[in-house]
Amino acid sequence: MAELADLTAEERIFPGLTGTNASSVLREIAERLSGLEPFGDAESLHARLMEREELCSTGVGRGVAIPHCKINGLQQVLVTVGISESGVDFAATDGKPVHVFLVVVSPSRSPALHLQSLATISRWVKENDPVALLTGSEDPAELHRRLIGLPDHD
Amino acid sequence: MGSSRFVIMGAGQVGFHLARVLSEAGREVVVIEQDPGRMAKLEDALDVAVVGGNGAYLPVLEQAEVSRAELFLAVSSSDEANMVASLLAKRLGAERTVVRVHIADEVVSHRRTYQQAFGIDLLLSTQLLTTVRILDYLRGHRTMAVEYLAGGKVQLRKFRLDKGARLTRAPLRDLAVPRGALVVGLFRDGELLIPAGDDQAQVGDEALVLASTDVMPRAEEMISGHGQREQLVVIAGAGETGSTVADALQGWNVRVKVLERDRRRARMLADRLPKVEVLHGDATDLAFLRSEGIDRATSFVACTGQDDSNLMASLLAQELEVERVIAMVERVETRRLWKRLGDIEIVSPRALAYERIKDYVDSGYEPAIVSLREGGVFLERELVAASPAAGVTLAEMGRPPGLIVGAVVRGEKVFVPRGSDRLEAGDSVILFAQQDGLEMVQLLFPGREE
Repeated sequence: MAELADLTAEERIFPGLTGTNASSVLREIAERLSGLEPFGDAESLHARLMEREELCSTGVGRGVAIPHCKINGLQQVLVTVGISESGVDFAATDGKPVHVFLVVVSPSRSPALHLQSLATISRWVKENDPVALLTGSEDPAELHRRLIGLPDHD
Repeated sequence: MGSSRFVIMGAGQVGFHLARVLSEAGREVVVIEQDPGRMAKLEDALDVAVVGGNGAYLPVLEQAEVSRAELFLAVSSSDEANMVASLLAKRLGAERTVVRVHIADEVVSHRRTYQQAFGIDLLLSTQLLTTVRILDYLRGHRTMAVEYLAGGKVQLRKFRLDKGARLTRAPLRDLAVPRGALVVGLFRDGELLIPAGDDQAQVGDEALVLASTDVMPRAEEMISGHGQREQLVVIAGAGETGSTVADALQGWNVRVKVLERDRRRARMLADRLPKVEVLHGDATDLAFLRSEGIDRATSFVACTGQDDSNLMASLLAQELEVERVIAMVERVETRRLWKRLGDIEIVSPRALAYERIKDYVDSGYEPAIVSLREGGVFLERELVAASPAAGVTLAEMGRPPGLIVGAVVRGEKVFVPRGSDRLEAGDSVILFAQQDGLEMVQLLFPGREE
């Protein structure tokens, strides 16, 4: 099973999110992703993510949410990291604002992989302090290094 | 909020006893009652405030200051008025409500819908409590609690394991647990143990068993102290209780005879339950009982709907040396009298309702069969296409810590899934989650508790 570090990439680390609610912050992420190769249409990605949020929030507490969906045309599970310094009211289980979004997008044809990735990320969130790790920098390269556990670059 | 006021609607046997116990415990109790005779009796006997009128009407509830109620108890004799009153009491600000109804069907099949619609925290049926207790006596075990899930298709029961229970005789792996049943947990010394195959239940444990309603009777055979000895069960009275018990017994390996005085009622039951032998006759007539071979019965259940007939029939059954005699007694105050008759098991619907409500209050308002505080919760989830668990086999899911997929309801089919079973959108799943598994439920089985 792939680790979180294997599923992320520097180009999918989005600091400085400005959205103030679930829909606007997920729209922001979907729009930034739509510029990247496999994702395409921001509108449908946003709709998929929101469809899932409407079942119940993916805000798991401690400032973290794990929005997710499956889409066609993807070859592998891709994790995108969005960061909001000011925090977003996301109806998280502990009621606290969400600062770190770990967005999991998986190929429609691999439901098992999708589920296992969510389990892996949930474990990673439990074992780390994602908000402390991923806030306080506007530099995707720097944030990515922190995420994959390399020492700070100075 | 916080004021410990109890408002009780209906001062029948259940309401009166609750009013007495709660007021004697120093709680502030208000009773709503419309019958002047009962009102006078309350005022004489108990230190409670009495409000005259029907609790299904707003001004009456307002006068009882239900807005300050920690608990509103609707236990009047009218099912409908109880439900309406619960709804109004909640709207007026009562913290929580209990509703007692007679009919069992509604509680089994539509509990959640009623609870939601009328803001009911605990909904209980005297008829259901009664039939469960009667079946317990017949089976020789004790059901501590029952909960119905998936519109009644799935049952969850907590059993106390007494000496002789087959479940205690070998590790779980070596027992033939029926397909469609699952021993989810064992309560031992106040701890909830989630058993693996090599764990063994012990006498004194409480077992939490999940099974489809069809399979539960066979699962109960693992709990029973006296196994398959039951050969002939005779039920006097084809009323609601008698017919529900007879119906439940069809799933067991026993012969059932029902005696009913009313010809039309006897025929109706015979049509409805083809495996049951329905006899038209009077259960208080010794000659009739003899001629129908009732002396060969191993158990006799008197539930004619009338206490005096039940008394007579039970005495005759004892005379015919039926091993186990169970009698339904409506009037709680005569219970002590019945005890003098020796070995008759007394089932009193109102006493059962009273006990259940008292448990609820004493437990700090825990309506469920098992709570997170005790070790875990059962959740019901509808899978949709966007649910990550849809399309995944149990083996692929692995074993997320603190999470058990207990049962799957697919259309009319109910099963306990194995590794190779794939969950599908449209399935209803019954999950058991411990504290550390709740986050996995949130992610993999999204949905809301009602």
